[in-house]
Amino acid sequence: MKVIFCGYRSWALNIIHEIKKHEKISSCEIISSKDNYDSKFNQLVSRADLIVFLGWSWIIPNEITNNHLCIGIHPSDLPYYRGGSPLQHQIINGVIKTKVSLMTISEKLDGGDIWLKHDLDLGGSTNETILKNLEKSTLALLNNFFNDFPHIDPVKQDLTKGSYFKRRTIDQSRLDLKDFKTKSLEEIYNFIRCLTDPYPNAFIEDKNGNKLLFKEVQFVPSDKEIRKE
Amino acid sequence: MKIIFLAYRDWSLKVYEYIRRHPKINNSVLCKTHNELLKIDLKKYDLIISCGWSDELGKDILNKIDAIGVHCAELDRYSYGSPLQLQIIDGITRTKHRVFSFTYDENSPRAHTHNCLYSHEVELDLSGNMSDILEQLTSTSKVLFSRFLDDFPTIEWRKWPVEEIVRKKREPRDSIIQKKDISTMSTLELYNFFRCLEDPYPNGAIEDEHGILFIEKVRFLKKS
Repeated sequence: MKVIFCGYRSWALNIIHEIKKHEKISSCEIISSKDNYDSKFNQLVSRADLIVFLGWSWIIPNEITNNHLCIGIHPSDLPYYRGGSPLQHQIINGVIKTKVSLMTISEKLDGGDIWLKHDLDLGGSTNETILKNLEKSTLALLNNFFNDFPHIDPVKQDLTKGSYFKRRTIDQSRLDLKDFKTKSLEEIYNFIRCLTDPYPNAFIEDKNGNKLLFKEVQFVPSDKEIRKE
Repeated sequence: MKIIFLAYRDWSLKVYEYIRRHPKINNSVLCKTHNELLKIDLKKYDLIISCGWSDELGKDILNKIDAIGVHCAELDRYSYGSPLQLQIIDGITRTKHRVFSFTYDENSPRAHTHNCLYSHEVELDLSGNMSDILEQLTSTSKVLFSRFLDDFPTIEWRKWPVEEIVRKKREPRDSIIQKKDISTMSTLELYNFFRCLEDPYPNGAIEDEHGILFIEKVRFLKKS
């Protein structure tokens, strides 16, 4: 099969460099930036059997998705947490065990047919760990997909179910001092850890506009020993 | 000159590699634990150089050999332990790094029971993260010990002014604040509290009835 992979984030590129070795992929092209996409994609697309988008941030024209098989991953158990910032929204809501879903890219955002899902662990105190987990789960998911394809049928999503969230803004990384009164420390930990680098870090802002940014945190429940004492 | 160099922290071990090559030093030994020090025949050495050493050397050792160390505070109130943390918590961002002498005084409550004598000093910047400060301590310690050795044996000892205020050495438990206390601290106070307790120290933490949130790394953005 001739495959085009589109991804620019480091976790996506790591996956691409591994999955391109799959025995069913006879040739592959890698689009690793928007400029690359603008200059190369239209020449390559007619020769491709499949286009895989991994963490791609730009809109893919209907003309492409209607005429070519385009698939992409979404790090949630679709149809739950469709839309923007799925990792952050799930972690803030206390979700630890979720799925990474492989779907057909369609005009409905994250609403395409589901090919496969794979377990995804959202534990870990930093996004570095979480993105590593995502990388590992997505690689397993794509391997399963290529192993089974074409003897695999996608399943339509029931979009009357599930949930949709908007992409988070930088201002939503703000923690108010009153949050320390109304939220448990575990909730605050989840908030901070899902906003560690490379995302806009959680912060407290004082009335003068000075910000305290939380870069790295750990949470130890009371029944465990205190670390580093 | 023959020296015994006391160091076990990462930042201070780097100082040894530099100081052992000073032209006046023809023999040196590195000790990483107090037990290692106790096994050394002190009579064969001229000086102990202590760098970030926590254990008290005690009367038996200091009666046999001269010892110097580095102390990172200007005010006497920070002579009792945890000088970096206490100064940062108190809002101090500029201080001194000094060579001090271990002149054993059993009545002194100060860390290393010293008597406020110092010979050489340089400026020390306490802003930034702990990794920045420790990197700086490596450099300033190299400068201070080098200058001391350059001038040795003609060392002029000065005394810093004694204060009645005592800032007590911090305990690991002092690194934990209660959740309800967060709202009583300003953003800058919180930043100072957490940054002075970054690795390798027991991290600053917030506690409630369900657990402890360790704040391992923070950054402060001052509005321009």
